[in-house]
Amino acid sequence: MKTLLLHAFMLFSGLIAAPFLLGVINRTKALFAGRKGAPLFQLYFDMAKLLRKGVTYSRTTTWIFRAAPVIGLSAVMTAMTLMPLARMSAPLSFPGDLVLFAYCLGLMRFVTVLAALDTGSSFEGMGASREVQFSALAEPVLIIAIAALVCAAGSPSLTAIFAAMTRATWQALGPALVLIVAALLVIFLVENARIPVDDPNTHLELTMIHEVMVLDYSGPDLAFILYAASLKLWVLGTLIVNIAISFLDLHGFFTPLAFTAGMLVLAVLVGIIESIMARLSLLKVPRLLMGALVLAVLAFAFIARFTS
Amino acid sequence: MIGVELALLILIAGAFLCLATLGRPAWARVVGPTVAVLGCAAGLIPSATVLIGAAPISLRLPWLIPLGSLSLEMDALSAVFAVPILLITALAAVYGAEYLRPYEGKKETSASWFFFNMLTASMLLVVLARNALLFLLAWEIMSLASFFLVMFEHEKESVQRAGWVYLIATHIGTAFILVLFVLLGRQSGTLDFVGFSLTQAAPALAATIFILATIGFGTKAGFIPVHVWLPEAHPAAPSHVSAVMSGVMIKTGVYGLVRVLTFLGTPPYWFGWTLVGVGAVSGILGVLFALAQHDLKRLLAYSSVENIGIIALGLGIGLLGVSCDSPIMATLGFAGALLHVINHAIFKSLLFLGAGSVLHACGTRDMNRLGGLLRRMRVTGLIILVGSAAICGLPPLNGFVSEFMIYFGALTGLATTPDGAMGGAGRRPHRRNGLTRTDRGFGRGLLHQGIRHGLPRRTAQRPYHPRARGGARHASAHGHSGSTVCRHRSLRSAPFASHSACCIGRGGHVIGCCSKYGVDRSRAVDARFNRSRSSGPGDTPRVLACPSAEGPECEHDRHVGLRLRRAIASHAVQRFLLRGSRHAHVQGIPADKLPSYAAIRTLPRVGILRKPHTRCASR
Amino acid sequence: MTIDRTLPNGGSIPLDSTPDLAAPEFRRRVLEGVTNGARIAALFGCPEGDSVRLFSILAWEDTGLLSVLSTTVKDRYPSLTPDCPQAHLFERELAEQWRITPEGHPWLKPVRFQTPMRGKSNEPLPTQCGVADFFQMTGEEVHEVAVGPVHAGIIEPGHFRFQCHGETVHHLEISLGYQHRGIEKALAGGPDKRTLHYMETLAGDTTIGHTTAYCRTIEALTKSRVPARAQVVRGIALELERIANHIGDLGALAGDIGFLPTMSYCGRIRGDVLNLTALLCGNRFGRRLIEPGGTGYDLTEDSLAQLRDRLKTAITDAEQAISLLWKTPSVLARFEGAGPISRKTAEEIGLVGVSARACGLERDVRRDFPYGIFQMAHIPIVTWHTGDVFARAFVRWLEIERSAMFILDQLESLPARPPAAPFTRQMSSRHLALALVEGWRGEICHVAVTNEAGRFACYKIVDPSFHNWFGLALALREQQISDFPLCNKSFNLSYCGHDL
Repeated sequence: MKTLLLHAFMLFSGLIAAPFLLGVINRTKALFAGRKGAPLFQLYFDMAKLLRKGVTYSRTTTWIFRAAPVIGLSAVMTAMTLMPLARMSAPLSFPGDLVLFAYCLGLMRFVTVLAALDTGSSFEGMGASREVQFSALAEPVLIIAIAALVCAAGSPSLTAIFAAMTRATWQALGPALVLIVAALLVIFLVENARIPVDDPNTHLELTMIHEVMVLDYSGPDLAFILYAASLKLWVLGTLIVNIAISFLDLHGFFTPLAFTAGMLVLAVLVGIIESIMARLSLLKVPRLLMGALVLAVLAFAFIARFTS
Repeated sequence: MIGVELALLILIAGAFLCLATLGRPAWARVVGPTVAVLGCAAGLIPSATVLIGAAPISLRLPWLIPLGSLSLEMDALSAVFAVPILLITALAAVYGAEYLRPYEGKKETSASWFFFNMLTASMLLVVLARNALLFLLAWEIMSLASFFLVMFEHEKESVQRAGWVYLIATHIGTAFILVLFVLLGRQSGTLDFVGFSLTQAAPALAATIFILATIGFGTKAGFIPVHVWLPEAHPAAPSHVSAVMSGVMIKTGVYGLVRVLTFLGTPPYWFGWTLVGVGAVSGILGVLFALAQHDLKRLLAYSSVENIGIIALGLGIGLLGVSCDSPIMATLGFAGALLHVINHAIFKSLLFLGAGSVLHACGTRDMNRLGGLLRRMRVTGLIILVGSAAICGLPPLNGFVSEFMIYFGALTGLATTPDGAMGGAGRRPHRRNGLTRTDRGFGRGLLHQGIRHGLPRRTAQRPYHPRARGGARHASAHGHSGSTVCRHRSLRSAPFASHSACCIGRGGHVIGCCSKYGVDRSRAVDARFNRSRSSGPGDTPRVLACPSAEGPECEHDRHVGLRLRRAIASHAVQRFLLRGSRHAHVQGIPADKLPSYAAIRTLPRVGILRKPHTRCASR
Repeated sequence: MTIDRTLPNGGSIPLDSTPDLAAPEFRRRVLEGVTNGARIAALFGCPEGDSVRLFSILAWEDTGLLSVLSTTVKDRYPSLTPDCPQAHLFERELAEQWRITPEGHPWLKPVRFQTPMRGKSNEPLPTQCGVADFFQMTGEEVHEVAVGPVHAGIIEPGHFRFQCHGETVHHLEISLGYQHRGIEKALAGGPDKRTLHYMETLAGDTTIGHTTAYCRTIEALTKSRVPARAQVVRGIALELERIANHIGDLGALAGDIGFLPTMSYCGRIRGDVLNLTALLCGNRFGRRLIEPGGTGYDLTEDSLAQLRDRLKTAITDAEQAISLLWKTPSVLARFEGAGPISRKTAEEIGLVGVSARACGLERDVRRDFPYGIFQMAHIPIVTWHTGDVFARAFVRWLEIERSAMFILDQLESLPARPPAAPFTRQMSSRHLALALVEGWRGEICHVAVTNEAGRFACYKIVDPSFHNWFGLALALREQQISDFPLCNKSFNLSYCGHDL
């Protein structure tokens, strides 16, 4: 019973807190730009507004377009149930759950791309094409990084991985874990369409990747998409923060505290990265991803060498 | 066994009955599919019972041919392959009855049905045969029947070429298989499978057998680089034949490989690594080639190469599991591979049949000319979409389950490291046999059936337990712990290959299948193009920025979008991965289409308003 | 070489003193001029009876003089474009406005989809705006992307057709005309009360530039002189306009590549500089500041001091914000090499302004054809040699610095306030007057031709955008389609200035 309550609490805290992270990122960017910035809870307001609105569908679209936001949202929620928070066990955990985790994110992308193509607009087709191209390069990084963690922790389950990681792991494999965190940070930026890969604020449809794919959505559908995007940000952020806080080797009440602080630091860090960097040219994004791939492979090789 | 014999009899007799309907296409349309469905139904019952867990059925009859015996057996491994063969073939036959209707009178459909039923019978015989000669006979009938099926539209030059490529490739493969059985027979003194055993043979012989099997059966299965016939032959054949060839016939190659593996005894590490390597290369390259295709069926053919790669990967991981004594890894690898055989048979034949419907409705397989079909072919579109999602391995569809097993097998290989290497005791709650409840529940039936029964007795009994392994090996110079370390280290890089293959594969599928589902009637699009180009009255500028632009312009956009995303995707792949291996075929508009074009061509003289850069016209 | 009838920038000549050449001779002499280093500043038609008189204004940068050539055309004349690419858009305009056929022009596509100003009712009227033939490529994996005229942001309407292969643009065609308001037609018979309003709103961000050019044309026709203090104020206003717009452009460039600090700071500083113009006349864009004969407002001692201090602050802020661009590697990586134009191309198609100077061409009306205050105080020309987005951005920043220095200098030595001089509105009859002004985008050319009554027989406006839009199309060749917004912003051309 206690575990059930704990799991429910973990899930709901994620579901509730996820949009707040975007608020923190945007506030950080605003501070760097010398502006006051939107309220921290702006995304909640936006979603509340959108949920009250009606929907407009283009006549060229089919049921796929309507189904995609819901499927995408449920896919990312499934991924959330697999991801442990603050080194506690995840609501759903079994060996090999990290494969399901990666595939859930894949499913979310699949339906988003499909819906974009369903509109028949050349812009959305272009965005979909870019999304697929970059994710084809990003997914191996994510999976190799996770494989390296499996190797380091000796268990093919997310919960067990984070439960097994302690300061001793860091002392033994510190450099590799740093590389993994760096690679995952790149993936975090790519997957969540942040600068330097994509610009979430741009209105220039020729340069967009993620935004252009959801250009045709309105009302509750758009709210679902925004919410799903923030959950994806949350769940990938959790992955990074879980690794990072294992260094502190905390127990009891301090772990969730450190976790919360870690998520906020991550959001601020992303805000800072977005403020001090211009967006990369689309031609150079694969190079960034290749760099991340190299980091992940190095980490993997390091861990494989030192744990055998 | 009675059902299986009956199935074979019905199919072969029915095939000749089809010949009797020569010149009477209406009869052929009834007889051919009926025979196929009856035969398959008869065969399905015993196959399914064996697959569910009944004892293997075997039959041995004397035969006139020296060294030959009419030795048939339906064990679990045969059943894993026989069930999709019979199921898919029966469904394809029903589909083919209507599909071939437009050809009646123009083509000899009776002959086509003859070969179709012969193909079915020979595929069934291939998985049942327990004698090398019988196997080779069935194998050859299968190759010839499918060759004639491919040559259905033999007046087309491309079909002729595809047919001959296929014939040559498959016979090269057969030559390897022939040598393989000769070696096996010489070693064992019999040509019956039951007598084949290489557990005591010299490692060099086992290695030779393994390589011959990988090449020989790999040719049929479509491993890269011996896949050349596959993308030629599959698009050339009628769609229901493509479905059978791609869905199940190439799996007989996998079957042959697995069957030979059961003769080999404890595999050395490099067996597994070879299959992992072949699988990864086939997986990655298959999907990259698929990305660059415009032809719907050709794309599906390359996707078969990719999926065969995933199956080989699973087999390789299974073999590695056997070699390094990890039952979980072996179980997951083999179970995943075999399950993927079934899954791929289902969704690939579905996609080929869907592609056939698209071809039937639109008259083209060129995806550049297709789009928006989901609105016009709702059921086909929905089904193709489901098939595409499944072939992408997306949860919760069947493709995910088998891929999950394979990757989980690989991850298990990673997680099982020796103790004490990293400090921190008690960190590994889920070591080796630590499957949790959820996991055991996960696809329990398939694990159970596919492996316990599906895997040949020998493998299942021996290599899983260290005790059963060759004593000489165990007592070798490097000792126990040393060899373990060495093994695990070598296992480390397995997931690279597998995961990159799967990831890139998925990306490719997204592109591929989206193009698949979104298809349009090409002529209508062309008509619209011409209309808008002539800028007649009532035509409006094509406003594309407006997100919800609708009306005829959108159809144009859809068309543009389709071309665009294919172009970008394949272009990107070329740029980053294939680096300039293909060139666009860019031409200006003919002068009569656009009068002013002729004029602008005169401008290069001033060097500014030059004609846009054109690439070389080679392809 | 034949000596043509020449006049200085801001001069006027009697119409009858320009010889009416035969069409082949006209063509020969224009081409000869262009070969010898002149540039076509304007090529336009003026109705005369049932035929059209063509005028070609050649700008000679080496002598600082402008020569006028003219010919009378009834229906057709041999086109200049095959030998002189910079004439291609002028000739398309002629064909559209006056139903003249320049024979041998490669593709007489509509420019603004406007109704011809010369009636021949049996010919079909132009179709709906934007509906035209477009250059198309065919072939495997070649695709067409059409953008606009409705865009996702709040920008002016224009239609862009990209012929792409993958993400690479092979050809871009720009179709404008959505902002066509018929200004030139409305100006004929003027000037009247509305004329100045038209000039102020020709291109809203170039109010000072266009009004200055217009006023100088009127002053040339009325032969009036402008007091020195007014000249200085005009110069200051022009440079303030330049600074404000350049800062805005640099901010927008930063925004396009997602570089937030510069974007938001520049947005604010641009407002600060616009407020300085408001300090002069009460309007941020300088409306009613410049009037024929002088200026509508004058600087007081108080506003002078304020102007000086606030400008200094704004420039300091701008330097801080903008220097980030040149220090950040990720910004330079986006700017450098994007949308390059070679110097030769720039010369051939007759680019003007920042875009030309970014290709290394020393082309600046303030130096080549000095007028007003620029006859006395020179602003050094800023050029850069690479011709890419970086060059266009960097030239903008250097010009901001030079202009600010100029303004601060002028504020130190402002001439005394002159006694009010009556401004005569009587204009010479049958004269041609022209004025070039270096607006912030580049050369603005206004030409007025008066009739017997001393009213405008025709009034020709050439916005720098008219010269430069084709440059943008060429800059995109073999570039990434995702770089288009960046290239577009680096040119930042005016739609309404082009469409008139």
